[in-house]
Amino acid sequence: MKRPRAITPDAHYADQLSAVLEAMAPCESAGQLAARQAAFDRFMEQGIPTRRVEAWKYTDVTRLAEEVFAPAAPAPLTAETVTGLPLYHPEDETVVFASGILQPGLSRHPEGSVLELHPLHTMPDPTAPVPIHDNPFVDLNHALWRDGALLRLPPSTTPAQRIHVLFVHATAATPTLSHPRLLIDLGEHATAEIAITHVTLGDKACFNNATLDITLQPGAHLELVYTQVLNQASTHLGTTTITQQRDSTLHAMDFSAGSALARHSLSVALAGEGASASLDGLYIVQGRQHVDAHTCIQHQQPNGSSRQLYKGILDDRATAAFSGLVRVHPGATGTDAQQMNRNLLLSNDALANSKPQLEISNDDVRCTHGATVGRLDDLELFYLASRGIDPTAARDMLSRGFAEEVLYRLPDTQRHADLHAILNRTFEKNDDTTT
Amino acid sequence: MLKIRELKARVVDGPEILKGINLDVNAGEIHAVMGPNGSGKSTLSRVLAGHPDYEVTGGAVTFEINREAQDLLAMEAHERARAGMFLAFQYPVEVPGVSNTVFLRAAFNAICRAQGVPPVDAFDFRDLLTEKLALIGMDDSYLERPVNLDFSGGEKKRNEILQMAILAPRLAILDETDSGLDVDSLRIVSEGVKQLSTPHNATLMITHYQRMLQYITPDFVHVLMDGQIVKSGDHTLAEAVETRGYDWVKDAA
Ligand SMILES: Nc1ncnc2c1ncn2[C@@H]1O[C@H](COP(=O)(O)OP(=O)(O)OP(=O)(O)O)[C@@H](O)[C@H]1O
Ligand SMILES: [Mg+2]
Repeated sequence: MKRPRAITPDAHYADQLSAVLEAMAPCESAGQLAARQAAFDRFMEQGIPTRRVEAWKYTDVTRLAEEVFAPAAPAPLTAETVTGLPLYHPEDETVVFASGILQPGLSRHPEGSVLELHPLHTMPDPTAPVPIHDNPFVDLNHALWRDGALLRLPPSTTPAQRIHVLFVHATAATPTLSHPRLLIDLGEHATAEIAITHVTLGDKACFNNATLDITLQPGAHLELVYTQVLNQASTHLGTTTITQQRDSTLHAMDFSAGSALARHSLSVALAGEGASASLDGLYIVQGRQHVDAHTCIQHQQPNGSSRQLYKGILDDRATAAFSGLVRVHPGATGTDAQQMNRNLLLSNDALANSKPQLEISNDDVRCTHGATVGRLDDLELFYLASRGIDPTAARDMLSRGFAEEVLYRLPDTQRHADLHAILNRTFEKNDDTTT
Repeated sequence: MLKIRELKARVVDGPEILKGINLDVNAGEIHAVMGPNGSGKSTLSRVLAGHPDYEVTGGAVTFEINREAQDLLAMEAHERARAGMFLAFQYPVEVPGVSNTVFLRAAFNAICRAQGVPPVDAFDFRDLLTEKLALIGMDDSYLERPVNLDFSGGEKKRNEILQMAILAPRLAILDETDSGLDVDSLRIVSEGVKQLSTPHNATLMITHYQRMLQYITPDFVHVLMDGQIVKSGDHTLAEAVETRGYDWVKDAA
């Protein structure tokens, strides 16, 4: 018998919907509640995809159909805990979510900041623009989200500080499930640097199913740093959808180092002429971790450009998949698209899958793509050894060097140092090779 | 300091390249090794440094560590470096993503620690770097660049000598460090190497030319042909080789 394409989710998801609908009834309109129900129906209709579905070919999420999760309740979070988190910086404008619930008391909104923060419940119908997708987890998110925010920058503004949206997921004995939801809208010619970070407190399992929808209005510029450093027991499913209008520019760093299973689906629609998107990705997995980087760039209008460089470092028995689709629509003449995926295997048991894909529907384009899977270079290892550097330190140094090709593109030395600090913790600590 | 006896080596599963080398190097000495292309000079240097592609098929090499002769061939490449051996590569390796400073400091501290000297912090190390950069005539723009990446041929060679200056080896093997250097660079690098030479360390220079030997007069010159040292002499041998060629050496041997 052929394996089914989807599995019916456990009944506890329906219980969670009932609980959410009841809890939200006082603060949401009938339309909003109906939208939740509709999203939930779509989720149930699609079910949890098996690996027979192309988009989930490399990542098995079927256990999410059976496993029972408790809705995440925000554990009491203190300011000390938040300021002690590895990527926290006191000078940032910080928006803190605890298990998906906005924490105004722990957030930092400097006086006079141009950033507008709208709680999603106060929006007329936040679920209205349902993006086209075939991802049931987005529907699940839209059905079960407890809280969320819309961050908006008015036209031609630039915040004085970096903006950091920090999702803190406290874990408990029973695995918890949360559905963080964030919308970002950069007005015409607005410029911002925004970091989105997912971290856990505690070492038990949690499952977070996050959605992030970003719109860049004409001429806007966004520096985005998306960091996932959940504990090694957790599951992160992130779906990020970015729509870029005319002449807007995006540079994104997509960094994944945590979770037992992590999948980030990042879709960019170049919906206006001359928009450009530059994506750098870095995933680091070890033990039995699995990571799936899934990107989709849609060139819909002329003269757009996109580049992607995703690099992966895999150790032990870890597995990784990169699947990237670049789709150039018939009218998108003058498109320039590049896509590259490089993997470094540090162990014989690690496995990297790579599936770069181009779909081009006109002749006036320049597209390149490629993928490599390799090991550390013997000659480089010998060179380091000939200078007294032992094999373990040499391995770490060369791995960091491999990562540096994407990390050096971060415009901000602080973020660069942050991600290096995570790398240093991931690799064996060695005082000599850290600066 | 270094005693090589009947050393035979080959590329793993390949034909023999070194066919019985004998050589003694003492502290305070400068040796030059000359020889035709493909005679095995770089192979000798790599075998001494512990390159994993080569297999020693016979003979012995001892290296004096704390006044005791140790079996060099039993040591890993990084242990040899920590014991004071240094190889300036004929073709220095590019290491993308690793800055010169990070690389040098890691090497310096690894060697210090092995030799029981406390590692230095980033600031003190910077001072050391500044001093040695001046010796080699390099400016500090090289420091933050990835090791050797997109360096010119001559810059790579200078960078090798910068590393040597920082790591202060007891035995430095320079494999054709003079090749690819312009006249001014050759003078600066040669004078740098000369300044680094003390009664406590030794230098083994592999070269095809007299050029570098005009700045640094070797105590001994050896001619390596087809995997063996066929003739040894004082610095006049280098001049004779340059004017008369290797056929003369073969005939005279
Ligand atoms: N890793 C290797 N694999 C295959 N052959 C090798 C390898 N290393 C050395 N050889 C061969 O061994 C011989 C000696 O090479 P080696 O590099 O030691 O010569 P050399 O004396 O340094 O020459 P040159 O003056 O051109 O630098 C050559 O025939 C070379 O092709
Ligand atoms: Mg050679």
